[in-house]
Amino acid sequence: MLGASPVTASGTGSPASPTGLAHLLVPDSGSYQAVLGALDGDRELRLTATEVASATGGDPDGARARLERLVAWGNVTRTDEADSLVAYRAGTVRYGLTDLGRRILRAVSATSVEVAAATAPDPPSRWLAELAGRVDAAGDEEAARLYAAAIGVPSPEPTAAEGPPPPALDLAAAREAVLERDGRAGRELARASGELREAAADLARRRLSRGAFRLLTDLLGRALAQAAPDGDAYVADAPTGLELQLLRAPGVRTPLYGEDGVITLDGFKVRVAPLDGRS
Amino acid sequence: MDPMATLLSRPVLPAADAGLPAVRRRETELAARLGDEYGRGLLVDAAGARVIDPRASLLRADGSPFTPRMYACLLLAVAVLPSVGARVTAAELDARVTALAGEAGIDPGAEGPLAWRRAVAEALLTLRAWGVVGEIDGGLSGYAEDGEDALLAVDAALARLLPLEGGAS
Repeated sequence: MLGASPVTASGTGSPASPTGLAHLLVPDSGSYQAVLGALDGDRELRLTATEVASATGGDPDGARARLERLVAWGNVTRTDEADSLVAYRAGTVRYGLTDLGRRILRAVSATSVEVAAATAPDPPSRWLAELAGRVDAAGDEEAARLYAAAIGVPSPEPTAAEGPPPPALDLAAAREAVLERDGRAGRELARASGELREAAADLARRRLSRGAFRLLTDLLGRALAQAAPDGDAYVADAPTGLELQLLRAPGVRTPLYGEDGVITLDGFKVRVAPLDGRS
Repeated sequence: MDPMATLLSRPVLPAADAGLPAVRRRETELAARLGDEYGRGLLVDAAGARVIDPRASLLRADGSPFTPRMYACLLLAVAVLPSVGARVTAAELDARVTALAGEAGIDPGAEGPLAWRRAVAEALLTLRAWGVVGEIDGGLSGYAEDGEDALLAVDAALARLLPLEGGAS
């Protein structure tokens, strides 16, 4: 009489296996059938929980709870999911009969199907509730043991996902490393500065080390960046104690030699001197 | 992430979890390793996957152990979740848990309403960590402390995967 739908009389099935007869097996079956009756009508009928409550004479929260159970049992479908408390409370979620729900409702109405409540399976909620009572009254160890037997999901093991904890940061060692790095850089700069200072008098004929040549090109670049059109250029560098002057000299080519290559300045002469020598 | 590490760090995996396909593919091997190395079991079905540990116990977010009342609230929440629908507010869920607690002979007011609400919230926070409930609007921490309501999403199918057949002895 119910057609070929794969319905089962279980109170614990998932939506993937609809349990369209379950509402006949619960103690307050009449209220569920009333809810289904409120939804029966035009195929497109969609009501909010409040509208169903109004039609059945119940309260909205109770109607919503029954509707949601009917959704789980496959009798009712829900249109929209609320994404905020405001929308949820406004009852924008609407419910309607599924094809399965409609067929069962019609068949039940036509044949006065009665199912004894005594045949209903013991729902998990019953033994879980009874167990909760025992757990609440138990000591710590017994409560944990009962939980393990009933649910048994362990606590997560964070180290398994995150790997071994990172070593603690040794601030003193880190500071030493920074100072060492800075010290090394400082020593290299002092060495380059000394070499450049020593080579200043004969710059165009000296082959500079990589560090000194890098310092020279750095000073040249900064001087050129500040040069006025057709004018001389000058830069002073306090950290190295050096100054560099670029003097306009049309027709003059000044080669500068370093381990990394040669730079030739067209139309300039270069003068490098200690900053203190200028004063 | 290695699926074994996934299961150890997240012992409940919802159907939509990115780590679940790898667990499904290697279910037999993972179940054997969990049994041999950890004395645990593995259950995989359409709703997701979950680890079973006969010696399991739970810790709160601050690392302290669950109290008996928190375990009781967790059992009650697992009992009511399959029937509340895909959306429910924390206050409604609390009311359902509290009503069932009354049927089970538990006095929710024994330690005061705030302590009861915190115990319920602690149970729901654990279920949130497992992916059984999710926070849509508002949060469970706010509900625990201030009673500020929150809209929750419920994975009823995953909730049905939690109770072990036969229950506790």
